[in-house]
Amino acid sequence: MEGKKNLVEQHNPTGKIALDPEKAEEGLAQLVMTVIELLRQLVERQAMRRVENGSLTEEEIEKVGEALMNLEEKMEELKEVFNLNDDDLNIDLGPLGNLM
Amino acid sequence: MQAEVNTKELIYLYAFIPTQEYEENKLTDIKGIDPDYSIEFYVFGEITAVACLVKHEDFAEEVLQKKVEDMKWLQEKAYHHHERMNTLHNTYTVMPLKFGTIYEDKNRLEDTLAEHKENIRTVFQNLSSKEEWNIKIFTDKKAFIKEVKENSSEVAKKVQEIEGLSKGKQFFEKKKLKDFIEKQADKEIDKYCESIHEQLETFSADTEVKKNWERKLTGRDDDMCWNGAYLFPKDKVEQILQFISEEKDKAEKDGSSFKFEITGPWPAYHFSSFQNQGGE
Repeated sequence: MEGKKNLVEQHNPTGKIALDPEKAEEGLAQLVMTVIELLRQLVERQAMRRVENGSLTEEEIEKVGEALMNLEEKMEELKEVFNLNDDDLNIDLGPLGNLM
Repeated sequence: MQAEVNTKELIYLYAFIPTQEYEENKLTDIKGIDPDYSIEFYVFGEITAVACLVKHEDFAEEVLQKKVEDMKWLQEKAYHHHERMNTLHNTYTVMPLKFGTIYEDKNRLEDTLAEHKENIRTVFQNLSSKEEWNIKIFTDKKAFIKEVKENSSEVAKKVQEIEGLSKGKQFFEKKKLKDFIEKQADKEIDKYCESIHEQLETFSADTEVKKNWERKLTGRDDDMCWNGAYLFPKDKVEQILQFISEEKDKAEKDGSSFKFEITGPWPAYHFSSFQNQGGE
């Protein structure tokens, strides 16, 4: 719990992933969360595409939809735990624009 | 033969101005981008090139490519370029050239001038008695999204439809609705900006719509939704500033989040392309 409080106090969003040795824990959490969020969004988009083009049965839509909803809720919880917001999980890819 | 060390100076070119205006009012003793040299005015018929000698060791193409990576150097020199352009712009009709326009020698410069003489003359005519102004509009996109969410009857209808669906389907429909709301908000914002732009167009001799900057560049906490360069006739500027100020008041009164940023007059950077391939 104390570790979490510490993170909260030190957190200062810069739009960059902090890999300062002193704050390695914080930087690592952000990095891992960013990758998870990227994968989650990819899965979500792919599922949406399949729902749209009718390649899923009613039952499958129901199952995937519920699973994705739970996943989204879980992500929100984790973001809160690590005191990260949506902007923190975005990566600036230079000329390619933002990741999300 | 081995390549010899080139000790000859290069020519850094700032701008073209009409010779007639130069003859009427000659500026002198202006320090150049290379502080060891002053700005010179090369008269070629009716066109005068404003330039400055620069050392080969600092401004040769291959050196310059390296130097622009040095932010401190670049900032200092770009600022100088901008400042000198303003000085020229205060006195003459200026056709500004991009930062880092360099010629090997006077003959090359003269060749370019000869080739584009007609175009340069046309640009002078187009720029005469006109000023470039930049108008940016900012808005809080989140406020717009909220507004659409709360007040659109279409959205309300869809929300109701979604409520009747099963949990899994709801997830996908909610995502679609979120996209729809965002697009709707974008449409509303575009509609407003375009209506302002259309009115500004009626005053303008020329316009150029530029890319919106991201928050990281603007340093603001709202979003840029319009970025336009306008070439206004000098005698209309007061009227235009009045128009913008009225629109500002209107936006404020309506409680909308639109904010205006108007800057100028600038040297006509966006309306000075003399080569037919267009601007940047």
